[in-house]
Amino acid sequence: MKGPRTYEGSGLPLHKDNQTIVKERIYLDKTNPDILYDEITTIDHALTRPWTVTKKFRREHNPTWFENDCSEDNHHLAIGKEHYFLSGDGYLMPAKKGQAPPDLRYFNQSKK
Amino acid sequence: MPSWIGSITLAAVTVIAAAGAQAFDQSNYPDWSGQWKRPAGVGNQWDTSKPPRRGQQAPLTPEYQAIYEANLKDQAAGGQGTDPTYTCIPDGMPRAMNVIFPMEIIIQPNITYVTIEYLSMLRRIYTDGRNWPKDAEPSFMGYSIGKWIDEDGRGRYNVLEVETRNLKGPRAFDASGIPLHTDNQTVVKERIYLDKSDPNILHDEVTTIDNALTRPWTVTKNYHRVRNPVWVEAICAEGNQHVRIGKENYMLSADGYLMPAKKDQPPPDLRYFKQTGK
Repeated sequence: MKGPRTYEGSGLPLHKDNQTIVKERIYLDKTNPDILYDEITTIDHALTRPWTVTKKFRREHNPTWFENDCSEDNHHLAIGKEHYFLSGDGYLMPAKKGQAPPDLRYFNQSKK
Repeated sequence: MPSWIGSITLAAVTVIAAAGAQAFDQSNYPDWSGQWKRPAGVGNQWDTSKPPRRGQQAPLTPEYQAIYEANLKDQAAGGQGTDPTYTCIPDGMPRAMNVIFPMEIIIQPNITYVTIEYLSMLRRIYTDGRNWPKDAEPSFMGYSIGKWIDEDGRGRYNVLEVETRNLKGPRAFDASGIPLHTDNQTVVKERIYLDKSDPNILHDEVTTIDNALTRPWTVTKNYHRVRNPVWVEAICAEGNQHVRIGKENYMLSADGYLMPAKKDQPPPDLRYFKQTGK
């Protein structure tokens, strides 16, 4: 695998050496065929031991699929090592209090 | 009710139940397995039988031809024109069938999946005889309903006819920015089949009906099969040097700074920052 990767939105990190191994056992519930289990064991150098969690999913027989495109209207913006935000009215804005604007060295003129 | 009616009814129900329980017989369907790629030396323009850009001779209405020309001028100046995918939104239909990076087709009993590595696009082509949905959310890939055809009468399906509706935009036919209408009333019809003399060539006759066009536009896309493929993950958002702020597109320099995409382009408005950078 390659990185960077995390387990979830809180940022639980996996090791940057990307030597992760993920093992899974996927199977239906014995009493309810509309429940699917995924036992996931993660082996990674950011961990002191293999970490096993069981994910549970329920089946939808008549699904509605929604296209979900992260790139569409994404208001996050990375310039170099800094993360900024795009405002609702289309301007660059800080993501943190007191954050400096980006360096505009490659532009001929500077705006306010 | 006579007893023989009940017997016939029971027999009919039994036959229907048996048919429903029958396993999916792959031999009824063509072998479209493996990886499908654009042939070597073929560009990524929409109609690969013609040169790119104006050579495509796209049957655009005068209004949309003017939009296209303005787009070409903007692209020549370093802009993106009417090609919206520099922010990594999907190509959508019909452009996805340019198959910039390889494609895989997975045939199931009631649905055929088309996965395209470029921009991680996924098509679902429903072949279960359903009607068009009334309230489906529009999408870049649209809603596709297909029908298998046994054109040769050999007892095995060989053609998949597909219609795609319910699209959203913005979309273009290819990277030169040939535009589709902003009303997103596009209908895409396809006939997909293997070459009769070479089963490792797949044809997709794509007809686009769109209000930016003066007439339906049909092109035939061709793909060649790789039986033992190597799949390379292609993540557009990784290392994307294009930046969009408001209505302007900029670039990120190799050393990590914001830079103009066009000559003399002013920097972005920094009104929401308390201090100005150098």
